[in-house]
Amino acid sequence: MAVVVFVGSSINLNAHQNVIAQEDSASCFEQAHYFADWIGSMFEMNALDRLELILDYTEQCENQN
Amino acid sequence: MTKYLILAFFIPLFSLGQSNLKVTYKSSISINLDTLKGPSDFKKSFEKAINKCELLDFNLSINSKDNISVFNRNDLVDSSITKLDLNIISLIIDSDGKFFTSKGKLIHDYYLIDKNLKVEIEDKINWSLVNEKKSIGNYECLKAVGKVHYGKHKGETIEAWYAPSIPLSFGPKMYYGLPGLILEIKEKNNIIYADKIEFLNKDIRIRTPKRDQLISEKKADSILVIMNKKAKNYFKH
Repeated sequence: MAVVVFVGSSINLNAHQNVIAQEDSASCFEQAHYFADWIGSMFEMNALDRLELILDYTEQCENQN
Repeated sequence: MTKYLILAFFIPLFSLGQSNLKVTYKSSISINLDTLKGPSDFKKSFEKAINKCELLDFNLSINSKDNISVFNRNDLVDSSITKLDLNIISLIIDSDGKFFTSKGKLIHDYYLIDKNLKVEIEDKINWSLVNEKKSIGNYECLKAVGKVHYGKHKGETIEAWYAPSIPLSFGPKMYYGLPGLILEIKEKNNIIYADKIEFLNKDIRIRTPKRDQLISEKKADSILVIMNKKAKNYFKH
């Protein structure tokens, strides 16, 4: 699986939507990063919260595929 | 309207002979999903998670003779709640671990990944009593407001409803110190409410962490800083 590192959590929602629009090309891991950014834009989250969210989203997404 | 139905059937009178209580709390998240912006898949995952919130039960056990309580989430009984759901709920409700109040002191016992922390919290909520009443089940409750003094939502305003007819100054999570049991807490994005109260004649044994296991909030914050640094570096290797 390609590992993509996203620095910071201020990616805008249009970027999220673009990725989801191309869902076929976004891995679960990539989607998880965007999901964490999206949640982080609504609620205060530290790096540990973000890490757990990414790992759990990735796992759930991979189990569903 | 139905959330207090069970509570209404329980004996509304408190007597000092019944010194032990078990209170089951439930929670509901109140976020207007229509106003959320973002990808529909994300919104669906988020909505699914917050709807599961009502399947969670929280327990407050009180030994009034020893002036001790412990609050924690009960083990999951519904297997449809995933780790991701719990994680999302936890970001909003911030109720991981156990909250002990012992002789007027608050202790938060929780895990940061695999590291157990037992934190003694020095600050107390400075409650303001408000001249408003409402009934919760058979209990007449009074309102108090305060500011969150600990955790992720520190500084946010909260609203508590307590029952003076149950003169025990305990409540859910880190909330205590009112002249009656707290039956409802309204936080920024959620409400925690009592669903069932059991008065017990038998003893409830609550084991609070030992004195030498406790760390200060400052120490806990420094551990969190280190753990956060490790988390940030996690995907870089």
